[in-house]
Amino acid sequence: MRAYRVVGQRVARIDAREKVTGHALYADDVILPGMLYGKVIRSPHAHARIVHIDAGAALRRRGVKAVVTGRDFPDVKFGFTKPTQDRRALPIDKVRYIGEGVAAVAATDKDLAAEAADLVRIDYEELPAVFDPEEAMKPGAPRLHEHAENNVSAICRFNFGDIEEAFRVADHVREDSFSTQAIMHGYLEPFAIVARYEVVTDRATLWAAKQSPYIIYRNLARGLGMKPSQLRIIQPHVGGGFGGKHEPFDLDFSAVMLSKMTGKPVKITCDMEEVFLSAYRRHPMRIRLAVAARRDGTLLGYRCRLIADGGAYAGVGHMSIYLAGAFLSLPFKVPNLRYDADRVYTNKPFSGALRGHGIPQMRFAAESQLDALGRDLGLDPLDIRMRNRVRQGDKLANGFVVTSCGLTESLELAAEAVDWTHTHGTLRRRGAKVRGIGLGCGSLSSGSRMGGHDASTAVIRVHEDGKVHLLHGSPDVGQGSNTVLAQILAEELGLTMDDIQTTLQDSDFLIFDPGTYGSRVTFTTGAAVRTAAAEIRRQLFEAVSKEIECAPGDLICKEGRIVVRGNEDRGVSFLHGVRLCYYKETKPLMAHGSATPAEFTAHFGDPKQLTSGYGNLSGSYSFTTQGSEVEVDLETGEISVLHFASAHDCGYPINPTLVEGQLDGSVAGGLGQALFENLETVDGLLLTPNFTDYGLPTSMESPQRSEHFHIETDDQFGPYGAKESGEGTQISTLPSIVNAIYDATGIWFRHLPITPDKVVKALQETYGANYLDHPFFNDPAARRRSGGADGRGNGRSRREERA
Amino acid sequence: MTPAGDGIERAPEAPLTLRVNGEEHTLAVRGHDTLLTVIRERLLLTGTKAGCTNGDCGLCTVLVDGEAMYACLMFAARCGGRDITTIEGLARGAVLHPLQEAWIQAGATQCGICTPGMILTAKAFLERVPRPSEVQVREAISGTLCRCTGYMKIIEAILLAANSGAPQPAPAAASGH
Ligand code: FES
Ligand code: FES
Repeated sequence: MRAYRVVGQRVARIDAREKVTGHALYADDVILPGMLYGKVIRSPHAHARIVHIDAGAALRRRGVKAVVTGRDFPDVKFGFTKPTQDRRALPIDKVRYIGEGVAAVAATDKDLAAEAADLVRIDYEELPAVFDPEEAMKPGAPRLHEHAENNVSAICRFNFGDIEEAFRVADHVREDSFSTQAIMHGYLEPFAIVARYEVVTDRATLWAAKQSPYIIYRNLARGLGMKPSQLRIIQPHVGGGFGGKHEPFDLDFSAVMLSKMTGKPVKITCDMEEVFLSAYRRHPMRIRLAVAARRDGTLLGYRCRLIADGGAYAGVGHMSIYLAGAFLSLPFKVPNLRYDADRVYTNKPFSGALRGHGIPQMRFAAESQLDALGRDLGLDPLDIRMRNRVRQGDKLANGFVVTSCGLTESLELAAEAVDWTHTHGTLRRRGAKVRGIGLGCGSLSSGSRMGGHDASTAVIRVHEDGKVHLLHGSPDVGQGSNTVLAQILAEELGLTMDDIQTTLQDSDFLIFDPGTYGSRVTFTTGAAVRTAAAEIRRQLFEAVSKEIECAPGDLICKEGRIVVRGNEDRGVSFLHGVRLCYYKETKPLMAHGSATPAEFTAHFGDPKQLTSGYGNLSGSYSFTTQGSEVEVDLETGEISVLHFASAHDCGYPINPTLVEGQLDGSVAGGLGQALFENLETVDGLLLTPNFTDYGLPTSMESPQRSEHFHIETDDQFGPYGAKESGEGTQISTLPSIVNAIYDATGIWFRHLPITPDKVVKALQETYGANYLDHPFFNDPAARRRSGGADGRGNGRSRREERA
Repeated sequence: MTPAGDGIERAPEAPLTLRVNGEEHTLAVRGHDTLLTVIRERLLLTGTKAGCTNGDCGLCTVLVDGEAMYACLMFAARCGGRDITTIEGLARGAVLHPLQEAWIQAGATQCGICTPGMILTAKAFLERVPRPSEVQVREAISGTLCRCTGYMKIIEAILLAANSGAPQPAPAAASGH
């Protein structure tokens, strides 16, 4: 039984008052004296040579101060790893997608900037373009980058165990194809930056909507030909990230350069349509997946071929396809794996990280295939999951080590929440509406080791008045990490949340850590906070022990006091201890701490490692099972999500309310991808450039009921036993919904999103024009006999073959 | 590439008196200036957020004569003499409005970018429907997007505010939808 006072409690967010009153400052809220407004000029062509840029007319317009093009930047490319350095601040030779930034203007107000952008004349020579990744790989296809033959930007080739043998001895194999669409992150704050270059110091200060300033720090400096220390990055509040605000963009480079050219601060805020057109998105993936199983449902092996549509640039796409393959097995134990993935350049905005990063696509395929396998073999999908689940202490074929695991409990809880045993496979129809339930599992790493430096740092200063100030290098993009870190600090020092203050990041005051991605913050930065807090305690205890004449080792921090363990009347108040340090010892009370995942993980900043795939990605892994109930309107094809139960092992929920917020948000995002959202393009032109056409879920589409179950597994490495909780649950959402639709309709949808028109078409194709009268929707017994339309015919049973 | 000269041609401006959060401001606006532009860039009340600036997200919602409106779709010139409330007008010093308190208690803010518009939408709604059902709340906020919360805790917060300090119980079930 834990006896924490702050950790584990539903304390209010540390930034809540600022946010509900409108006082929280975001990048676009920053206004500086003399500030100019910039506007990026974007390519109307999917693939074209930039022949000439004439800024004369724009510059002659009064109030227009400067125009910047690719030629104003140093001749360098940047990127995630050496082999993927393929981007420039702004392109100089050609554009590679519609919406790519080509130039930017700065003017004294926004309207003028927009006008000036129209006056810049850019002559293009159109080139043949390619939009389909498989077309792009064919010989003779238009080539996007000189260095990339067949337009392949990254590959993975994993081979673990003996895949041939697995398929030889299997009782049953089946192979299926899947595809997923491009979706956006859906942050509602558009890109924005304010940059102020100071010529006297040759430094630039930036306020930008970014979730990982370290990555901009490095790449922006490189693209600008500056040293990282010449940039000062002040982190404002961020209006949502979800993996979408890591990279430096055209507007970031342009704002700094325009400020340098004009000597004035420059603000560039994109409008939302520009975000739709130019932002990176989730990789659309085509997945061919073959599974080998025993007749009892034991998974023996997976053979997977994956082609990812990478868009025009590499970004972190190598990591994305690595992750898709790395989670081919987890949350299940599959001993033999073969994974061949190619990420391909096409003339569309590039693809990158998005909540769950590469994994949701793969788990959608693998987990919905499990339900089909169940139908093939006459097994309950829950039993198949139970049979193959990983457990604490397991080492997987690709080198992952499971240090704590609540998957069993999560399966039980989620199944119970949707009344699995009595409900799955039964006919529940009212009028034209049928209901079904589904399960999906997921797992995610709690931070990993990537390129660059990997440590998190926390700096703690205790003021003379006893208030404790925390600075750390991982921005809170809304998930609540600042609150969680403050809770950890309060707990460590025996204080309350009222005693803790935090300031958002500023690169002049601390060391940025790799950033807010891969669900690393609580796990890694939390450990750094604990280390720093221990050092504060050491200094305090030394001062206090002299005062009350005891051994420093006998002291503890408790309820605002520093007291002798076992004799808690003896001691001083925390404030008194602080004053002893300052006034008696004459030592300011300050400490820092660092933590790194390096001790338990392989180094995935190395492209070779990403390609071959072996190694432990993270210190620990979260586990989730989600049970969902959907209702399908057979007449209209519309699907509503009635109930969503998430049973989540995040080790230990340091703030249950925040964890629930992450679960709900993940579900809403996954639901959007399953049913609605689509960045649909024709010849590279986006057909859905606003939220309504795109299909971002509103309150009407989110689940009618949401339930959360917290499973505590007390991870040995995570602070207070905590693990990842921000992204993992978006992984299980897709298969959970897809499987529920499968249960309701007998149709297994393998191509996302599952829109009403697709549903009606599939119903007609499967059950005929009068599908409402089909036994599947009328006779409960028919349902049990049927393997479902798509669940049959594809699998081959070895047993039958041999017979 | 920097031009010479500095006199700038602009669209004509007309004087306007705006009453925002109970305070009168007289300023010159151009015909195409939206209420959102004026609130954020002229009055520097940056609590009102700009998302799509196109009537598609609800981030810019303010109260105009008590009604929740998308400020990005309203011309400032047409708001003279009307009572405008922005998020800055809700708290009295450090004393928060019950909806703001409910938001904090329920954990209904994450990144916070939707929070000002959402709270004002909720305020206008609760004034019309003081004891709403959950379904009514869902419908009332369906014009404002939130990507972070999945709306769950926002709905909870609104119901919490509706029920706080309320002598009579909330109606049991949804009606009329
Ligand atoms: S900014 Fe007004 S509705 Fe989006
Ligand atoms: S809290 Fe982030 S969009 Fe609502």
